[in-house]
Amino acid sequence: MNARHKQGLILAIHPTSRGFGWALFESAIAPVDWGLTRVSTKRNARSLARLEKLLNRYDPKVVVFEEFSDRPARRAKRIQELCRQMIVLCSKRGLYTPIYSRETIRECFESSGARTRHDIALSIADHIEVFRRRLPRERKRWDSEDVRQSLFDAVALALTYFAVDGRKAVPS
Amino acid sequence: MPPLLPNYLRTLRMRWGMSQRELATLLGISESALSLCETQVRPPTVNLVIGAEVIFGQSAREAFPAIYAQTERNVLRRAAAFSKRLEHDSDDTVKMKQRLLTEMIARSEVDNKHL
Repeated sequence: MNARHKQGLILAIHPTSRGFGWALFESAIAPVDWGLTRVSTKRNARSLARLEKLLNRYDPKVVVFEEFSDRPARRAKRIQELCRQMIVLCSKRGLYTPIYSRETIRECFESSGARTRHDIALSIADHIEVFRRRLPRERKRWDSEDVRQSLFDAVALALTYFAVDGRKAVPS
Repeated sequence: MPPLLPNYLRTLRMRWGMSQRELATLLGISESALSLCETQVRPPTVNLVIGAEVIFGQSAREAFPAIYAQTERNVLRRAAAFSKRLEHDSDDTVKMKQRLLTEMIARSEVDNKHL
């Protein structure tokens, strides 16, 4: 672990079509706060305002995002724009903003045999009890995505940070 | 690891799947008072600190590290002044008081070793 990692909170953000899921960690086994932010109108502006509120309240040192512009996990144009704006907001505050591809996240959970996002959510619920009751049921082809999945996506991002960047020196 | 949040009331509540309304009812305070404390707008009351310890079994030091640290600093500062005043006397009661202060400082040093 590096010094900055030891001193700061890690916030992971996973935007969706209806807002964003977020998770705040002190360490890989210590979630501090988590939630789902829902916005219905002016989605990007409101999502940014909510993120700013979170940054003001918790003052994290690292904000983790998922790759949003490259295949195979390319996101909708609005979400791509939101992610860029969020990264700019975090960078202006001098926060470290690592971005992980879905492949990197999958590799981190490979040892538990998790391949799909739902498998990863199951693995998280297995290891961190507090998330067990938030676990969405497995999505059928005809279902729309359960909003709680974005919470687990955010948690997976934070855990990926601890597994990957937590071992390296964080650029200052 | 040193605590990173001023208080962990929200973390404890969410860890146990409780709503603000449920915890506020247990603590005997209003939901808004609990919310203000959780978001660090208002400092916790004695009732809330003790109530949280009763409910979650976490000491005030663990659940409310900021206010604990602040109180500890203030007490230690006063203890230093008090100890100086005691230097002029040497009866048994004074020795007992000095021992208490020494033990208090030692305890605090052990507890804050990680900082």
